[in-house]
Amino acid sequence: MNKTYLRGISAGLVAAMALTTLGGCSGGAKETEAAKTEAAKTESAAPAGGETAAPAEAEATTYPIDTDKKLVYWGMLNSNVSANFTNLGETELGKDWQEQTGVEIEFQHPVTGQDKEQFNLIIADGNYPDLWDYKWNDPNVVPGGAAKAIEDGIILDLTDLINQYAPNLKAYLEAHPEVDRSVKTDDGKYFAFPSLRECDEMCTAFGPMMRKDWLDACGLEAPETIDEWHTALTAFKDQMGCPAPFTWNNAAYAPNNPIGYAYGAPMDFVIDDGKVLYGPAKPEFKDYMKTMAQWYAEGLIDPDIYAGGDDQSTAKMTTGRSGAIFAWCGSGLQSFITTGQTENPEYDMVGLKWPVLNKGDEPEYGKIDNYYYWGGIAIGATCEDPVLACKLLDYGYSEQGSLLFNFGREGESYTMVDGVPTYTDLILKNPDGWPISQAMAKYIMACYQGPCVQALGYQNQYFQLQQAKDAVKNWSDANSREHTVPNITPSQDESAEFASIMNDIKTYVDEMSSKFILGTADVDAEYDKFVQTLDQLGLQRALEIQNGAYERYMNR
Amino acid sequence: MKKKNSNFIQDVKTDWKRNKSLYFIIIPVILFYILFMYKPMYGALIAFQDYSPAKGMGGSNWVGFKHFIKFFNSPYFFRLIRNTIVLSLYSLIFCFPAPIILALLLNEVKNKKFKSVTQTMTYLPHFISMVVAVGIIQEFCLNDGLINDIVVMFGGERSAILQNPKLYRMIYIVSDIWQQIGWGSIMYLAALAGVDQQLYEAASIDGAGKWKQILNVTIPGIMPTVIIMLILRIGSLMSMGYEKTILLYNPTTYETADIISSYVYRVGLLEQSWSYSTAIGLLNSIINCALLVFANKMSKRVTENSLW
Repeated sequence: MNKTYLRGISAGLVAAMALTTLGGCSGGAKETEAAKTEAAKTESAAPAGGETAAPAEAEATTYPIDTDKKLVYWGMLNSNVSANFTNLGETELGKDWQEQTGVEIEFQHPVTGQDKEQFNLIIADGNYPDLWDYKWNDPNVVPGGAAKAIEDGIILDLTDLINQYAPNLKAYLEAHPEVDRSVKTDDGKYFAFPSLRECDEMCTAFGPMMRKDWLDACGLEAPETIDEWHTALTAFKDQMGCPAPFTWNNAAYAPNNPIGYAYGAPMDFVIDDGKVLYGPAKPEFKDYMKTMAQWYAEGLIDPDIYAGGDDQSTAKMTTGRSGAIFAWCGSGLQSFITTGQTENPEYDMVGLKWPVLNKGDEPEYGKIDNYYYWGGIAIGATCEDPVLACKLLDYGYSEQGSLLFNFGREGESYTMVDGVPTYTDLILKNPDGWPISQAMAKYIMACYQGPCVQALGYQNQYFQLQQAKDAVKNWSDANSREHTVPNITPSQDESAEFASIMNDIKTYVDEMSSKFILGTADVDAEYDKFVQTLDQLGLQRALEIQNGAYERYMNR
Repeated sequence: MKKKNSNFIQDVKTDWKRNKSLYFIIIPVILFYILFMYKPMYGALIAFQDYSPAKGMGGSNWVGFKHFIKFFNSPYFFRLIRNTIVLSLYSLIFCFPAPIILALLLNEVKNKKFKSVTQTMTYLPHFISMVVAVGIIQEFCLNDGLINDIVVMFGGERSAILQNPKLYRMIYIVSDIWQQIGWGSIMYLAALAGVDQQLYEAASIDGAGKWKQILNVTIPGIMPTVIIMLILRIGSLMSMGYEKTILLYNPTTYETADIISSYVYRVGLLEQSWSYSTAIGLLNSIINCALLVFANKMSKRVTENSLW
C-alpha cells in the first residue's frame, strides 16, 4: 500500500511540475524586427538557406554513429534519479544512450536549487554545453524565451539542422502539425529537441471522480450532466449519510472545477471560436456561480471547502466523509482506492466524463495539458559539431530510441509480450524496494522529460489500476483541446505586464467567487459590477496580450 | 590631525591586545550581521528597477519610483494598509500585555513545581512549527472540529469558522497569544528576578499588601524592560509576518486577512514580480523605521527610558 501511495504522490508531483511549467506561459520573440534582421543575417551567412532552401530530404542516420567525439550535456537531474544516482551517466539509461548512439556524453548537472544561478554563470562564462536541457520557452527562466536565446547567440537555430539531420523528429512533427507549431518560436524556428506526449490520454491525468460503490448502492449511473451530478450528490448526502459530498483542494484546483467547465466558464482562460476569453467574464459564469451557490446552500458542497487543502480533501475522500472530487489520477483516484480499500474492501472510484448541461451533449470543455512541456534539449552556440549533436538527439524519436527512452533495456527493464513492451518486476515490484518512479528513472527518461515522445504504453503501465486507466480515457473524451490555450509565448515585456494584471484579477476572482458560492454576495445583484471591476483591473489588456500571442502562435 | 589618527590607531591596538579574546568572541556575530542583515540590503535596489534574474542587477533597467506609484494606485492599497494596521494594533493591545501578565502571575506562585510545570506548558506552543500550529488551528475550526462541537454543546449552530471574515482577526490574535505567551514571558521573569528583594521587605514593613507591592514595587521594577520591548514592538508594528497569514487565510477571508506581507508573497514569489514586491517591502520597512524612531522619542520624553 505504501508503495502505491508514494507512486501516487510522485505522479502528482510530476503533474504539478507540468502545471507550473504551463502556468508560466510566455517568452517568444521580443522584437520581431530584430528577429527578422537576425534571420536575414543567418540567411546571408549560410547561402544554403536562400530561396532554394526547400529542406533537402533528411538523411537517415545509422546508429551507432562512428565517432570519437565527446559531447557535453547540461541539465537538471530529476529528483527520482538523484534519489539514487549523482549523475545521469551512472544510470542504465545514460550508459545505453551512449552505447546505442555511439556518442560519448559527459553529463553535467547543476546543484539542485541552484540551476538558475549556474545557468547564468554559464551564460556569463560563454562556454556553453553542447546538449543543453532547459526550459527554453519559460520566460521566468529565460527572459524572452527561446527566440531571445537564439538572437543572443546562446543556442543555435535548429531549423535547418532538424530539417536535414533529424529525420525521425522531422517525420513526427510532419505527421503532427499541431505539435510542430508548439515547438517553434513565433517566427517559426526550431530551438530544441522537445519532450512530447504521445496522445490526449497522456494529457488528461486530472479530472472529476466519484465513489463507484456509493453510486451503485444508490442505484445511479455515473453522472454525465449537471442535473445528474445534483441527484448523485443529494443521494450521497441523504442515503449514504455523507456530510460533505463534493470536495476539492480549492487553493490548487479552483480553475479546474468540472462544473465550471460544464458551463464553459472555468476560472481560467479558454478559447472560443479562435479567441482567448476569460471564463469569469463570460455570461455563463453567472449560471455556474448560481449552481454552486445553490449546492452549497443545500449542503452538497464541503462546508470547509475554502479552509482545507490536499490533506483534508484526501482524508475526506478516503474516510467516506466526501464522495465526489476532482483531482489527479495517480495521487487522487489511484491512491484513494488503495487507501480506502484497506478499511473498506467495497471502496471503489470511477473517473467521470467532464459534465455537460444537457443529456447527450458531448463534453466540450475540460482540463487537458499541452503535448509539449515547454523545455527541451537545445544545442549550445559554441558546439563544435552541431550535426553530430543533432543526430544524437534525434535518436530518441526513432523506433529503437523510443523503446530506450520509454522502456529501457530489453530483457532487463522490459520484455516484449505479444509485441508489446512490458515492464518487468524489476520496475513494477522493485526488489530493492524502490518506488516505481525511481526504478523507472534508472532505465528510462519518459518518466520525467527527455528528448523523446512519452508513449502511452508507459503511462498505462505506470497506472496500475484499471479504474485509473479508464479514468484518463474518460477525461480525454472531450473537445477540451480546442478550448485550451496552447503553448503561446508573449514577449518579455508582455508577460511581465500580464502577470501583474492577472495577480490582481486572480485575487479578486477568488474572493468574489467564494462570496458568490458561500452566499455572502448575491450573484444576480453583483455580477455586472463584478465584470466591470474585472475591466477596471485591466482584463481587456490581459486578453489583448493573450490574443496577440495566440494569433502569432496560430500563424507559426 | 595626523597625530590624532595615530593616537586612535594606537588606542585600537592597545585595546585589541587587552581584549583579544572578547573581540574574537564577537566575530561570528559581526559576520552574521554583515552577511545576513547588511549585505542583503543592497538587493533592495531592485525596487527601482525592472529586475530580471537572468540580466542581474547590473543589466536590468532603472525605472525610478514606478513600482511605488503602482502600489499606491493598486485597488488593494487601502485594504492592505487597513488590515495591516488593524491587525498590528490588535496584536499590540492584546498580545503585548499577555506575557507580562503571565510573568506577574507566575512570580506570585509559591509552589515551585506548579510554577515550572506551568512555564513549560506555556513555552511548548512556541516550539511547534508554524505550519503544524496552523494545521491544528484549522483542524479545530473545521465544521466538525472541536470548536464547533463546543458551540453545539452550548446550543449554537455549526459554522465554517475560518471562512468568516469577521472572526479571522480574533482567531489570529487568540492563537498568537497561545503561541507566544510563554516564550514572551521569559524576558519579564528575568526582569522580575532582578527586582531588589529588600524593596519588598520595606514595602511590607510600610504596610503594603500583595496588590500594593505589585503595583508599587514589581511593575516599576520591570518598567524599563517593558518599555524597551514596547519600543521594539512598535518598530515592527507594520511588519506582520506573512507565514501565519498565508497559512491561515483563504479567499473568503481576504477582506480582513490580506496584509502587506502576504500580498508581497503573492505578487513576489508566486507571480515573480520581483521589483514590485521589493518596492512594497521597502516601503514597509521605511514606515517601520519611522515608527521606531517616533516611539523611541515618545518614550524618552514620557518615561525617560529609551533605546538610544
